[in-house]
Amino acid sequence: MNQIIVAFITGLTTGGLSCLAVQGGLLASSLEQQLEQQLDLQIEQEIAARRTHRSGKKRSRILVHPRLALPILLFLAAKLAAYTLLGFLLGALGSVLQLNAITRAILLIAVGIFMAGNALRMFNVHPIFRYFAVEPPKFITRYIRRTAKNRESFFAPLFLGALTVFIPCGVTQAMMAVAVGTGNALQGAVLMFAFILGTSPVFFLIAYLAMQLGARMEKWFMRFVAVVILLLGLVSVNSGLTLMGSPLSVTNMVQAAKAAQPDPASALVPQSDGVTLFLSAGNSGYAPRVLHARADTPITLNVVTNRTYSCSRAFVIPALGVEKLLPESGTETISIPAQAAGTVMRYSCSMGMYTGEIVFDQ
Amino acid sequence: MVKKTYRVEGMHCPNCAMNVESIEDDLSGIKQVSASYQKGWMVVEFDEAKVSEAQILAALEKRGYQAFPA
Repeated sequence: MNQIIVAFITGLTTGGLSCLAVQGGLLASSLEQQLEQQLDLQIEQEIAARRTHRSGKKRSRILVHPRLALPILLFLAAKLAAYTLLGFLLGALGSVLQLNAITRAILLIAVGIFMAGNALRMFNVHPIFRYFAVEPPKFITRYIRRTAKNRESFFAPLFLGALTVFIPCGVTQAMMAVAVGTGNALQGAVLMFAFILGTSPVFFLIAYLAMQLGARMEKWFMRFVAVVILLLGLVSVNSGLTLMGSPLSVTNMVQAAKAAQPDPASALVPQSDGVTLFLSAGNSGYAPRVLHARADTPITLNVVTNRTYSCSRAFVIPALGVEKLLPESGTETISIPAQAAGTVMRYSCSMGMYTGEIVFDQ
Repeated sequence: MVKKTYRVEGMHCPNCAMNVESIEDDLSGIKQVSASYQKGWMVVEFDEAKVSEAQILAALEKRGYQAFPA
């Protein structure tokens, strides 16, 4: 029971914000369709009002009360259901279902391209971008139209909410690992349910407040949403590139620019001597950001955590295929085979949000 | 019963396709409307004896869209 309460509190405190950073784009994509739909309805009502007052009387402005809480709740409910199911499978099937770093990187890049394409569609850049929109199957739209008798498509938020299961943030991945550790389908399901339930209030509050504001600003806000989706898409692509260890990612370029600057956080761990390296994995990333190692010599990397609860616990070295879930407090030792002089080995958290590198030069 | 394809202007999200298809409910002579936001068109299957093309286009305009024979 304790584990479940901890999972809920972790979701409520760190999980919500961390997941919003990674999955916020999907939520924005689903709400964007809802906003567009409301604008359509408003335009239709205005057309009807114009007809009614065609004789030159003063035209009244009809405002549509925004009903955005429902799609957000649907998104979160679908997410909750999908993760509960995932928890069930993880508990039952163990680590078989875990995605490796490269698969996640490809997925992040794909999601990023999807989001950027959607943003360009909203800007009406070219009709080709319409193919980035999620178009529900005809039988579903027909079913919704004929049975629900309303204009709201619930498919997009439901579908996209369930899709978040494929892009878990670092904290979620840590929780997924715990679900695997339960070794019990029901316990895994309850654990993931508690965690995702914990993340939901933050998701809901931020999204709802943002969208209420948007309904008032009408079309201008649609452009703002498009810009946000575009930025989140680019961030997602960048995270994917970082996770692949690509020097082309913005994170790694900034890293390279900062390499010459002293890093005060590096004082928290013992000094590295070129063969035995010490790296601190804290709540706000890794320190020092650049480690110098001796070339042509096997290296021991000690990753030290001290009450670390952030994404940085999911530690990845793409070049070596290393993926470790670090303890909250303790030291994880990783052996690195000899590398040629000039090699730059990048490491990051499993979502590519925190990064650093080992330079083999001594 | 005839089947005609129209290019539709004014759709700017997938939900618009659903709105376009709603003219099925407005006019009794229409058997089926299949609209695609991605392709920007709709295919209407209707009974010419019961409903005219002009009525269909007018029903669509009422919903905020414009259609042109493809």
